[in-house]
Amino acid sequence: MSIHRIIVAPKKKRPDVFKIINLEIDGEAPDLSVLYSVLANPETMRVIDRMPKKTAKRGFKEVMYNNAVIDPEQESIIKLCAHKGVNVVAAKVSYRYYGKKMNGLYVNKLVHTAFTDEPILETLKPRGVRQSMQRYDLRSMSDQELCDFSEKREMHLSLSKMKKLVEFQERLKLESVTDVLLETFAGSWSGHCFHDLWKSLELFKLLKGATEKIGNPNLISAFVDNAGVWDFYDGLCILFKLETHNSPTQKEPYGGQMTKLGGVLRDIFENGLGAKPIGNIEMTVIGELERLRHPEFTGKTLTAALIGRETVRAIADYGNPMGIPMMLARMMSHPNYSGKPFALGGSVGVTIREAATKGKPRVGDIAVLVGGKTGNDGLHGATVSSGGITEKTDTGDATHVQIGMPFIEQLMMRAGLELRDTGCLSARNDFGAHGIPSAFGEMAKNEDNSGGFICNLALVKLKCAGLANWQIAISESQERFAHAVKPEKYAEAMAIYAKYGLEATPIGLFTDSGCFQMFYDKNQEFSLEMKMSGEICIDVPYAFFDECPLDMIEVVEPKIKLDTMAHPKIDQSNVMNMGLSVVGHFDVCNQAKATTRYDSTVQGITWQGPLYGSNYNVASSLAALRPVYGKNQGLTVSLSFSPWQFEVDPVRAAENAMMDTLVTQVAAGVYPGDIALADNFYTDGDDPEARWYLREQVKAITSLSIKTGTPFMVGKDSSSGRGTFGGKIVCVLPGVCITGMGKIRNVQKLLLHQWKKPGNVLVCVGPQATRLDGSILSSALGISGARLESMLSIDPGFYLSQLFHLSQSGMIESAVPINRGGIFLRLFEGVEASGFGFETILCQDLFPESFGAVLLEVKRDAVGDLQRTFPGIKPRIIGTIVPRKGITVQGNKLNFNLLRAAWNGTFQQALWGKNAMEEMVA
Amino acid sequence: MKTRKKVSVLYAPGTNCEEETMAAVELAGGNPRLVFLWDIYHKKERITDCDLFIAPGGFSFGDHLETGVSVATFLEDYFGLLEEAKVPMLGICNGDQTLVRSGLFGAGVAMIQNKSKVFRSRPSRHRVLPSHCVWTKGLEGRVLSFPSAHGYGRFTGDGDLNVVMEYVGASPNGGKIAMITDDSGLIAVLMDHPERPYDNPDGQLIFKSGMSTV
Repeated sequence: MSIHRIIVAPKKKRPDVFKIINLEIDGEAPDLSVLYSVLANPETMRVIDRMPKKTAKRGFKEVMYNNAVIDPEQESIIKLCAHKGVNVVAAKVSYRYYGKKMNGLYVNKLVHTAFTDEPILETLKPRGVRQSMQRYDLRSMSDQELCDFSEKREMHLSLSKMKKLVEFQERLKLESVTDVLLETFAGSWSGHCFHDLWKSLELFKLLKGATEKIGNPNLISAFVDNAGVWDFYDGLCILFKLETHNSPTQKEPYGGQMTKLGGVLRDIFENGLGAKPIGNIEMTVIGELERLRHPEFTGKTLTAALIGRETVRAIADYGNPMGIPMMLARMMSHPNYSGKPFALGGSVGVTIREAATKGKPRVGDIAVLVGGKTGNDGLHGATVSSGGITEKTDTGDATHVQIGMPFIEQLMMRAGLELRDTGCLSARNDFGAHGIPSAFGEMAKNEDNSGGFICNLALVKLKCAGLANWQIAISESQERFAHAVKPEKYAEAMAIYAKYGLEATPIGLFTDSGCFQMFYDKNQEFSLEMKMSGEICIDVPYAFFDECPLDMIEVVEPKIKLDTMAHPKIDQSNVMNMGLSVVGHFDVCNQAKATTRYDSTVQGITWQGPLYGSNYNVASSLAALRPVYGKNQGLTVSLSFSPWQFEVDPVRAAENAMMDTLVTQVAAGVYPGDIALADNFYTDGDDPEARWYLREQVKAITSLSIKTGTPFMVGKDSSSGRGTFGGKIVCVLPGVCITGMGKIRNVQKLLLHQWKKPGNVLVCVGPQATRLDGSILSSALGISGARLESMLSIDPGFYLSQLFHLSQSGMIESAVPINRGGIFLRLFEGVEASGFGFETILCQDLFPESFGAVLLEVKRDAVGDLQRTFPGIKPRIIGTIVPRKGITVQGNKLNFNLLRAAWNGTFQQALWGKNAMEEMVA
Repeated sequence: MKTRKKVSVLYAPGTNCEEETMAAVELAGGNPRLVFLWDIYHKKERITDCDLFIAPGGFSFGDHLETGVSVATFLEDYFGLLEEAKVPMLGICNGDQTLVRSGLFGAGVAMIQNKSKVFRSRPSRHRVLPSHCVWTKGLEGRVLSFPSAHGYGRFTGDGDLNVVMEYVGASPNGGKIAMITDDSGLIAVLMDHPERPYDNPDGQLIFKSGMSTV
């Protein structure tokens, strides 16, 4: 075994970055010059013998993935080398930086190794000694010992759950229980997988009950599979799913955000009997960019700017190779996300009706693990994400870090559809948190617990030498898929996997034993007669998983905020400054620098993408696709979340988010009954007051759901929004992001945001806020707020119905919701996007945020008609579109260039500015 | 009845624009067919069994090592067969990078990183220049709009390039050149996407032009 380093330098006078391809070769070193033309583009690069002397004296940093991590490029390199006749067994690409190129270099030690001297490489493969299976007699442990043991193993199980495991040991008459059994239950009963907080508060019951009560005929599948499914047209269905990846993103933002997207895409692939993802959704809330509220975090956690930059890089690096258009993308910043960001990602998909509902494995079906190999990445992801972030989990244990490999996942996009269409699978699932027990184990579990699963862990293909049984079982290695393959279709399925270059390994069988069984026996090959042998890791009745004890949950109603906040009066003297504060706010500024890094037109179905306007830089509130080639049927997506609103009044903010999401679609012409909703809650479940807010939020949105006839069909709750650093706790706000997915028969009839013509009038309809509490302006001025006004003054069902009729009336030219930034921001964006100007008769009223209201462009001669026909939704004239670019407020022409400079500069400065980079280097 | 031209659309692991490319070809009157790289490599499929050949966009082999290098290497003995058979070829985005890397435009031509150093996805406009390229025949002087989405899209070359299209207004990659052809005019590459959306009227002109020449 020998390691060879091929140094590639750019063809320029004094290169300061070198790429080194490290190859591990079995046996004698062949002539490697045959590889040079492949490893270095002869037009732009050259292979050199050694680093230039003069440069080497200045010192360097050479960065490569550390030994525990497989380089994503390895597989391609090995294949290319084989084609050229060189037998490579492992490969890693490293980059060596000199001089100024070392400045600002971000090296995450959980993933990378940085050499400052010539590396001495013994192997490029992960090394390790396989731990033997551990056994514990829980019966001998005191309560305190049980708690200590649970924390030491990072299982984060409460005492009552540990005591239940003691009871299981007794019921199974075992002298001891294995580490595999412990880890299996720790994951299955984690907040991430079992959602015990939600179960204790009976919140699922509320949400599901509302959806059932509505009985929307579009609903195909809700809350039972990886995604929610909604009827589309002509025998097709559309799906959507959003989820968070907050803990991994705090630890390693690049890997965390990549795998967030990877995970949610697998939820689409692996829903029902297979689907195709056709659109991505991205929203991340980072912590405060200047550490004003939490100065003590300086140097203790990754900076918000770094998390922001790595988020942009990760979403681009995962989403673009996948070939899925970005529909909506937004980043926000709030101090309460300084300990843990809100990393939300989503995807929409399409499938045929026959494959839309959850499959059921049959007895005798083969459990095939497809995709990437299994490693030590992501161990304890389920339990740690349910346990909160601390300095220890933030920096200590490399095994929590997941590495995303979109190349492998992308192979499944096409293969998955072929598997669906050939009927090879009875059921399929995503490998998400908690590995095999979750992916295969959940598939086999049925209501009467008569289903069973048996699996030989020795058959699982590993990328790391020496994984223990428990590590193989619960590894959260990415880009893996769990398929229940019909035995009669086994050969056909294996041929499809091979055709697309996907590794597929049969590891077990679905049975009727009623038990979840895993063993490790190197001597037992896969067969349809698989039997438990060798090391018995776990053999428990499925019914045990239902016995998770629910701890008493304390809920405390917070005191009502009585203080009133003083907001400035806005008039001609300060309207320009207030406008600058709004448009220059991080949450609403021009983020095209990030958004244009995401491919938004791939698949050729984008109708309205994440940006619009003549400069292609204004963020869309509504995105639309045409999922079917040759047809104009449309799929629409809208999303709403404003952290500043949740800081003031979490319950009203939840209502506002929901109404904002709905009116964005309805004003554009989507029928309310054609919209389905997703809820993504993110709270601090350890705080009794946050639990109260959570319960009231769920009550509020389910009530609205019933009133508007728009059902929730998918959701996810993360109740671990707490970070502890140096004894200081920071908790996320009790918040929920509401996303809507709709359908429209003819996408050409959608009313989009861009203004059409000077002379037209802008009319606001819907509820009207008068206070600034929780607004972007309030945030910019450093005033939090005391209360939000109710935006439900008009009956929500009546309002949506009227708004829909208005959208179909032919009176409206364009439509845009009023939300963050108020009317002022919408006017600024309207001018920027159209190149026209606007004269408004308002001033103070430009800044409150009337979530649920809409700004409509109406032909001048239709305004009277609108006011007469739709008085119930309170139409109010805002002003007139004029030919000349700019904003005039009550006759006072604002300096548009100054506003534009503020809007354009913030994002770049916040994430890539001098201060943002300096803090990271320090 | 007019026979539809057989258009092979290459699929390599990591290709991700094959479906819209096939939809666009079909709308333009062609008969698209997906051909798998490994089927050509393992000689299960003849690369020349088509009237036209398109290498679509994507991230073939994850863009590992370098854009387009893997497909260019695995098919190094095959692209020449298409050239010999005078089959018109179009490389779009990653297909552009692949065909350029395979040396079809001679030594000295390469695709390099955008000046911004990052991927850019945005609308773009392109002026068609007078040239002998079969893919833009009759379109000279027109300005065509279709989006760009790439990170390594700047043409660089030692010699004179046969430029077919240049950017009008902002260039997504900082370069002026949007499309080139080879000396025969049969092989052309461009980084931007005439197949987006699949029914883009401007993009259709390019596919129709290519098909009308065979």
